[in-house]
Amino acid sequence: MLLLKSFAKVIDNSGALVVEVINVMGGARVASLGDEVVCVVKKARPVAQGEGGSTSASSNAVSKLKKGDVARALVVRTVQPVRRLDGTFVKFDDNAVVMLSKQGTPLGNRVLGVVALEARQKRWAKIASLAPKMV
Amino acid sequence: MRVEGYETWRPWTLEQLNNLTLTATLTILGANPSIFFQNYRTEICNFSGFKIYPGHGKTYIKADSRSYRLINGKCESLFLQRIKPSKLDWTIVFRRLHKKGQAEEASKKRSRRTVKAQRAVVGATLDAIKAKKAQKPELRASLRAAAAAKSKEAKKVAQEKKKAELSQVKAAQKGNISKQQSKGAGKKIQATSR
Repeated sequence: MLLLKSFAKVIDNSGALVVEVINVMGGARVASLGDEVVCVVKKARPVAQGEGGSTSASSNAVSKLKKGDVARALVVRTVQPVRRLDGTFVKFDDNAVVMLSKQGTPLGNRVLGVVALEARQKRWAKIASLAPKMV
Repeated sequence: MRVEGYETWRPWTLEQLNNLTLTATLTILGANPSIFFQNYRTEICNFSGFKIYPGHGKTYIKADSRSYRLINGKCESLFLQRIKPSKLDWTIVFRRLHKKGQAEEASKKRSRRTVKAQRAVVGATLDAIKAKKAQKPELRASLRAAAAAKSKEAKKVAQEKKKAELSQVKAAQKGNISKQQSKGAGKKIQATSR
């Protein structure tokens, strides 16, 4: 249940760490699992200066985002329980998001952590394939 | 109901209505049939051990990506309070731990009896087996005795024959005959040089 001003964790290696939602795509007020949002990067991974920078602990981080960047993202985990068609409710421990480009492709090349099954839509097939575990 | 070949709509006949399948009925009523045919699987509550039927309970996925199924708010609340189910005496974990109700379970278990069936074997048809089974014990004993006596006789004859052969060999041999030779071993090859 992410809306304007909500903070979310970024679980790919695009460089961003924490992100604040500024808009929910599709006109809805609230973004849930599998929805696209527009967000601002509030906290990003420090970018090493020059070529001989420190070995990134984040396994070849694709540092494309820095603090203050505006980018799109896909909501993959919400604390708010979400009802599935078989009647079960699923809820996570945190709100998490995967950064996207404007075309809808993920900005990072790795997804860390669990991703909800709701993200398995045709548009986000790339993310579904990157995810280590879908629950 | 859409009629084949006509560009018009006709009302359902009683027979058609009666023969509607479940999927068709659901679609007509506006429901999504796939809801009812999804994974119908009774899960087990990770806290209490009770069965979770579809439509009940919550799935809580922790930060370490382990998922926990909880059947109701009671279990959910206790789970989040990090209370151990093994300390609550209404949970299955507790009951199993303290071996409650196991006597009832044991008595309920029905023992399975396997039925032994006679089968024919290569070398003995089913009838032959049955006939042998039906033989009277005295008859069997007498048959065995007869067979034993017969084999004894045969043995005796063979032994005598062997003895006769040996005596012939002995007679044919000259000089010293070793013990082994008398038993029928080959002749010893004498050394010609030293």
